[in-house]
Amino acid sequence: MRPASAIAADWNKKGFEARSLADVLKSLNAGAPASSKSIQLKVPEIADEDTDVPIFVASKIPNTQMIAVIVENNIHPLAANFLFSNGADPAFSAHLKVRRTSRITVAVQADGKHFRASKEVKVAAANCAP
Amino acid sequence: MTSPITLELHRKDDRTEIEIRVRHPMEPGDALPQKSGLPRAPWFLQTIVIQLNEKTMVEGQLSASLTRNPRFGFSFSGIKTGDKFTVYCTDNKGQELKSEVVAKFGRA
Repeated sequence: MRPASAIAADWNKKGFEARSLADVLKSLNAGAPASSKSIQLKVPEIADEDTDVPIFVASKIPNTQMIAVIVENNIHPLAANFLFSNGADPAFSAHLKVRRTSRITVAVQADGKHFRASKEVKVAAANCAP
Repeated sequence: MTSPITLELHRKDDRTEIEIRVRHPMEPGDALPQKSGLPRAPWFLQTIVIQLNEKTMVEGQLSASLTRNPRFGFSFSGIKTGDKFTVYCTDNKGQELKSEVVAKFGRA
């Protein structure tokens, strides 16, 4: 196995420091992903708290290898990305900071092809998030 | 010392969900200095790795856009008593965290 520190060295600095959806997708070599109904994306329509917005993503696209979460209106939109291997289910739940009303996009890579799904989260009162 | 990573397994029919909680500030850092004149430095988890019986199942790259004390859930099928999950995290200061849990299911 690779030690955790080796994986840290792969951290996608360019993607996490990107300021736009297009630049994030570029850093993931995802180009212009096709919209897919085989990606389940659950986020609240209205966020009670901008510092804790739950998200659930599950990809039904065969051979899904990667799922990235992009909060389009955050200063740094790329929030996380996960690689799945050895038969792991391409699905996860997490909690995001969403600094203001934003479209949340997930980008999926499967068999070298890219797909996306998006949903908007309305943030009532913004506090302070990245 | 207890690990900052807490792991819990939940059985749902033939699926096992692993719930991961990590004690971490997930501080994005300030663009502008605070009143003290000292900007807060970024301090957040950058990676998470989930292994099942020492085989890597999930490798995640993370940012300060995840909530403070982040929580994650992943689900797996075919988990039996004795299977071991190991979770590793690293942060941007080079700190490495690790935690393990062994599945133990009661008889139905």
